[in-house]
Amino acid sequence: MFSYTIRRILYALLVLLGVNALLFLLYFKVFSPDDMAARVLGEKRVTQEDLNNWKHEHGYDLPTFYNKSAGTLWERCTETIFWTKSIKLFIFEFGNSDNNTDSNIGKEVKQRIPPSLALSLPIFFASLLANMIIAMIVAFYRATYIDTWVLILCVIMMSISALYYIIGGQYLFGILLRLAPVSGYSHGLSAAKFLILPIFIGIIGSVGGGIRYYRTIFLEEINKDYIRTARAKGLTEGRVLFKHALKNAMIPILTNVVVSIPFLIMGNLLLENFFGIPGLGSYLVDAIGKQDFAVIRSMVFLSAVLYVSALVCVDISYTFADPRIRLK
Amino acid sequence: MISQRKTSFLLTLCAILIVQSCTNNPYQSGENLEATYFSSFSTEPTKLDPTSAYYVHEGRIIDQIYEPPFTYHYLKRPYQVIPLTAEQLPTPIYYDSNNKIINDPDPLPEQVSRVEYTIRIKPGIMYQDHPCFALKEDKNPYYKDVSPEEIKDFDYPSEFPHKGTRELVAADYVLQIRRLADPRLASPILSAMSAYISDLDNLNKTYKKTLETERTHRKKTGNETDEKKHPIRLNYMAPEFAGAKVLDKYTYKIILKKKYPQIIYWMCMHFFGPVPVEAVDFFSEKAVSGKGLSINRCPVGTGPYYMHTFKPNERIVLQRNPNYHDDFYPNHGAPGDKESGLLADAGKPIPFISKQVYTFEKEALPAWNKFLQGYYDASGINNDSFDQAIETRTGEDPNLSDDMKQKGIRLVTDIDTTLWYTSFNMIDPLVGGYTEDKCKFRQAISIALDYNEYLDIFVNSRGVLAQGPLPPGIFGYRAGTNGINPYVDAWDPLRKRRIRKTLNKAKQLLAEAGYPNGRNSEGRPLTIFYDHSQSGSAAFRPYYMWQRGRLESIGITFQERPTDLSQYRKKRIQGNWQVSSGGWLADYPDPENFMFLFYGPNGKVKSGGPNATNYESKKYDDLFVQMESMCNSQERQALIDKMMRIIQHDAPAVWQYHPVSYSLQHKWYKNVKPHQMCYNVMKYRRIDSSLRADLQQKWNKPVLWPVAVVAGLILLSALPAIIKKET
Repeated sequence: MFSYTIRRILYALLVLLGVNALLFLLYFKVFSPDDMAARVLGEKRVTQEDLNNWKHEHGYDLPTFYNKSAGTLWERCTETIFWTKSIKLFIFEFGNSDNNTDSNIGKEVKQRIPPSLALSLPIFFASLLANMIIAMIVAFYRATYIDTWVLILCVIMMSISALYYIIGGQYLFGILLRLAPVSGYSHGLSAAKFLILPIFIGIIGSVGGGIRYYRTIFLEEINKDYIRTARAKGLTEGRVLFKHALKNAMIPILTNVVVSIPFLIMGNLLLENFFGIPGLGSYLVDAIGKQDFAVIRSMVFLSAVLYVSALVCVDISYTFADPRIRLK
Repeated sequence: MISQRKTSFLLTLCAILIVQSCTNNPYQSGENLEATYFSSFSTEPTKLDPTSAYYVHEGRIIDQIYEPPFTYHYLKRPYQVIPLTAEQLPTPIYYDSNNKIINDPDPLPEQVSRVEYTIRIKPGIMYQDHPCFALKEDKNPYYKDVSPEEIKDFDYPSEFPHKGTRELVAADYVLQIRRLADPRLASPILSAMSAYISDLDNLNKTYKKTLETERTHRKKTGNETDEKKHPIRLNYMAPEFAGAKVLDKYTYKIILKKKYPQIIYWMCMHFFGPVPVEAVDFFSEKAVSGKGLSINRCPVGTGPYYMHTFKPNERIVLQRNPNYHDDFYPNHGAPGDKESGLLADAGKPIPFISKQVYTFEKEALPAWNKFLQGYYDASGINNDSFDQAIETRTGEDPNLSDDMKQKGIRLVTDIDTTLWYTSFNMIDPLVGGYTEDKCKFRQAISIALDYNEYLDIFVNSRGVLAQGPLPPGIFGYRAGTNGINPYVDAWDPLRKRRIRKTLNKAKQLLAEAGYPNGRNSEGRPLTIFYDHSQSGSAAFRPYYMWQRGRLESIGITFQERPTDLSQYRKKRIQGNWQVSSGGWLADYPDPENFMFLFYGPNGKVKSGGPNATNYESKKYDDLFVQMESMCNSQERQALIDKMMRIIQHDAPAVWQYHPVSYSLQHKWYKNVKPHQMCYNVMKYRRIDSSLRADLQQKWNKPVLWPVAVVAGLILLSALPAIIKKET
């Protein structure tokens, strides 16, 4: 398994190199540093000297790949835009925001991970739990009107846009019923009152698809021979479902769960934006809105790192879930 | 047994948390009972250094912290400059080329070779408490050579345990004027001020040289090459500088190269506010700058408020400065102010509000809803909420909707001192030129682009049709029939308002210009190009289509030429474009600040100046030179009138409109009068916090029964299936 893991990590590095190269081409060939400077500084009372100053301050006045004017060969390679803005991403040195010179991206990411997790972890676990429990109940009551109506409801819920849940949820719970703040955030325990509504909306928004997915998995499992054997042994239906069926359904569940982990850290773009939660999702949306390419580059690269790492973790987790699986 | 206890404890805790959470109040309990102003912001302020901050949302924060020597009267209109930290308004002393004082208070510009403004500030004004002023027992700065370890727990200056203050002195103002020349701070007014303040351009060159020398030295030695971590500390006061001098502890002098009465307006802005040298030293400390703290994030001033919390992605909190000097609400205002209650607090000490809390709201809808719930004291109106807030009937002034009236919300409108215009490139062979046919061609386009229609369709009629560069409220603007642009509009004597000339008139002008039915002499269709960099903007497409439709109605084909911003900028600098759009927000309330947008020597191609159209008319330029440095008078008005006629005839731009800002205020928010020129107005405003708390409670009682009903229904609906399965 060790050699397999090493091999997968090396593949992951290759993928990251590709992502990095694409990012570099997109952000330094399609959008020139001049364009970035012009976007940030605007037009009123801006001179060419101001643009040059901005480029110098942000390190965009360096040559792209090779700096002939630098001293040693190392400096010629490292004092370039490619090195400072692209290669340094591999050591998580993201530099500063294009729009705000004083804002260090690494520091900002660290500060924004807790609010993102405070929102996405409860949504993740609660919706996972709700999805699995409801899916099992539906599987248990298969072919009854509960099964039919839950399925209809799930399809309807899947068809509704996430934006509608958010705006509708804010309207219903924040304005009509006045049970939760429409938006805002606070640190510590007082964050609870701001998080309860977005968490609820996040769960509601994800259960439609989740129940359908897990119901399919459970139905496939409960029709297998070992379930019939378990029932024949006289086990209760709850024990059959929660002990036997659930354990054997772990492979698809794990795939779904572990691949979701990067999205937990990267935050929820819409929920954070509409509820004013200062997490990574809103950071990215903000950066896109303001065309802050330094932040967008860093966040895209970070997402790629997390996603590729999650895929490696999925493979490894299979061996724990199913002893028959061996990684070679 | 234990597990049961634990379970009941957890369940009880959850229940308490849920019940406690059942409120839509976004603030901590009791926070709304204080004299706190609650509002929101949607754009992160990135520059709080008085040298470089230039946007309105940044000015709204730092103008409450930095105090320039002068400011504007809060209530009087037209805008009137009054002393703030200065003892009185300065009288300029003009010198001729022989260095002799000119006795004429308003000499001709060509007579003047130097102007001096001597400003004496009031003694006893103290800075906010700040760690930069903290001293050790030996009188050395407390945080000099501080280690990162010592300050690791403090993220913002307000959290530092040791603070101090000191008196405001004239040297602080001179230091800030010198900082305008620091190339790293990229002051947006450096080039404009270099044209007037003696020696400022040389000071800029000296600083550049010093920085280059230091950078070369650092590069050679390989030490501290990262300026972010190790900023270069410029000794601002070291080089000789003839533009600003300290005369004594409380007096300083600004020396100009030429007559420029508008300098007084600049001295009302934060660019001319004081910066204490202690702050420069404090933020140059490696440990402090290593934490990302700088003057740009942490303003230090003498104003009514100081920055307590600055989390630009979350919350900005300004607290009342306990060291703030004596300041009082004005005793007099403009006509009508007394009747509208704006003088109820006349003569009372200010500020009334003890704390301002600004919450980051990226989306307009939650911010709007929180305003309606009473959690924000004031709000603008976006297009989506307009119909909910305002009822407009044709020909009538806008009125608040019944819902708003029931809540006691007030509507305050004000015409922005802003000009939006569509510019023609006057050096373009097709749309430019000064012959009569070219002027008629542009006049025809001006008639076709009926911005009355635009205002109705796109901005809920929130704008005043422009007749020339000057917006209402600026000296020289003429309302009514006198101010009409006779080439584009006519006066409707019955309704007493301007009406746009007909499309037939536009077609006639177009034919006279040599393009009958939109075709040139060879019979080819006339096509003009609209250059822009707004392809990504959702609002742009309908606007462009509207322009296209309007011009097609007189036979002109209108095509867009989209580019990225950098290319667009290059096109403008090179003059390689035809038609474009732009705007100008007044820096100060003087006609010069608008009329200079069409002054020949300010041409974008010629000098990189603000004259985007590259318009150049000798008659206009001569009049501008006479008018720019004059005091407001009948003579100045006559010159402006002449200039307006020239520019209306030549039509280097389609005068679009001056926006009207609509803002809504709850009835507990008092003393609100919009001010277009300065943003230090919060000190005049007052909150009736007990009324607010009562109404917030009344409007936001939680409704719990529907939740219980839904939960019950879900359980009931599942029962038959459970019973069936069991049997």
